[in-house]
Amino acid sequence: MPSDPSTKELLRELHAPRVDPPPLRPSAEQAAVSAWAARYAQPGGAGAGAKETRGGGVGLLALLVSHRVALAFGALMVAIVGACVLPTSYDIPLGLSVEIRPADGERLPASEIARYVRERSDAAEVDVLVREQVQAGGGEPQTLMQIRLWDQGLALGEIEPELREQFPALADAEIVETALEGEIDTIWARRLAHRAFRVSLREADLEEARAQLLADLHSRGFKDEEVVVKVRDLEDGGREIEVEVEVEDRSLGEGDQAGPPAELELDGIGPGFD
Amino acid sequence: MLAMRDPLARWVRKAVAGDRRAFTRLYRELQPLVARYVARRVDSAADAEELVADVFRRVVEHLADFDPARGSVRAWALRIARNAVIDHYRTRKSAVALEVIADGLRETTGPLDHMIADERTAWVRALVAECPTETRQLLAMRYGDGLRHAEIAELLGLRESAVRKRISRAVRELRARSRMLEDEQKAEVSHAL
Repeated sequence: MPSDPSTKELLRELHAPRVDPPPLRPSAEQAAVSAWAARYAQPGGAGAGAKETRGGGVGLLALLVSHRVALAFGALMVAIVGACVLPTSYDIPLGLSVEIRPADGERLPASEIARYVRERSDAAEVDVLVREQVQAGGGEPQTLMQIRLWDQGLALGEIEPELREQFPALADAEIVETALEGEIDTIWARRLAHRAFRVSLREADLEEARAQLLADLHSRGFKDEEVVVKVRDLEDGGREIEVEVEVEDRSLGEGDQAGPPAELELDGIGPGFD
Repeated sequence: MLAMRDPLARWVRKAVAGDRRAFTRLYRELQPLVARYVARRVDSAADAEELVADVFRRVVEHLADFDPARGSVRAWALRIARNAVIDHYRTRKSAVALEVIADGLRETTGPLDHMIADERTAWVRALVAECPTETRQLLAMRYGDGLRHAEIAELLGLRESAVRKRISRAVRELRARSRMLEDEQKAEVSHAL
C-alpha cells in the first residue's frame, strides 16, 4: 500500500484526463484571436493588431473590420486570413524589461528594487522573477532578477542610473533594459504560480539538486505535497530552478476552525520578496 | 501578504476595450485550464480540440458580459466549458447522464480496463467509488481538473473553508481506510503462512 504522502498523487493519477489535453497551438490561438478581433478590435487601435508587421494580413483584417462585414461572415474570413497570413507575434511596444545581475558577492534587495521600479514606472502590471543559475563547471550560483513592466511610463534607459543611485548594491551590477515587443512567453503568464528561492546547489546531478532543494524547503517548513520543484539543465550548461508552492491548511482537525487561506496568490511583488 | 485581486479580470476588461495583447494573455492563461477540464470529459483528442475551440468561441461571445463582482474569470470560463460539454453530448443524443459527464464523474475506464488497471490506482479507485457523490465531485475537481479550493467553492456555491475541510477530510479518510486494508492484507498473508 502506498505511504501517506502519495495518496494525493494516486488521486491525481486516478483522475487523469481520458485523452491528452490539447496543447497551446498557434493556429488555435490565432483562431480565437481572430474571433475576438471580429467583435472587439478597433480599426487603427492596439486591438487591431500590429501597425507594422509582416505581410498584408493585418491590413486586410483592418479592412474587413472597418467595413463592418456581417459578423459571422467577417469572423470566417478573418479566421481564414489569419490562419494563412497573420504572424504569431506583433511588433507592438508594450513595456519594459529590466534584467539585473549583481556583482559577485552582492545580495539583491529584490523586494525593495521591485517596489521602487513599480512606483517609478507607474506600471499597471509588474512581473518579477528571481532565478538562481548554476553555471557549468560549478562555482557560486548566479542570481538573475528580471522585472517586466506593462503599461508603464519609463523611457528606455531611464531607470538604470536611478537604480544604481538608489541601491548601492547595484553599483557594479549588470543592468540591461529592453523594450518589450511581441508575444509574451508562457512562463510569464504563469508568474503567479512561481516562486524562486535562494538556495545553494552543490550537487551536479539533476536529481540530487532537486532532492537538496526539497530538503532545504523542508527545513523552511514546507511539506512534500506543498511543493513542486522543477530543475532543468540548460543548453548553455546552466541550471534553472522553478518552484511552485501551494500551502495546505494544516489547522484542519476534528474540531477544526476555519483556517487561513492556504493558497498563496502571488502578485508581482508578494510574499516571495517580503 | 496575499493579493486578493483577480488579475484576469483586468485582462478581460482590456480585451473588451479592444486590447489584443490582453486577449492573447487571457487566452494563454485559460487554455490549459479549459483543455484539461475538457480532456477529462471526452473520448477523443479530436473531440477535445473541437470542444476547446468551441469554448473559446463562447468566451469571446460573452466576454463583455463578464462581471467580476460575480466571481473569478477562471470559474466563469469553466462554467462556459461545462455548458459546452453538456451541449456536446446533448447534440450526440448520448445516453449518458449529462450531469455526470459535466461533473467529471464518469468512469474513466470500462470493464476490460478495470482488469488491466494499474494496481496502484485500483485500490484508490475502489475507495473513491464508495464515497458520496458530492465528495467524489470535490475530489474530481481538485485532483482531476486541478482547480483551486476557491474556484471549486465558487463553482459549487460553497464557502471556500467548507470545500477545504471536506476535501481534507476525504483524503484523511481515504488514507485511514487504505491503512486498514493494508493491515487486513498483512493479517491474511501471515495467516496463510
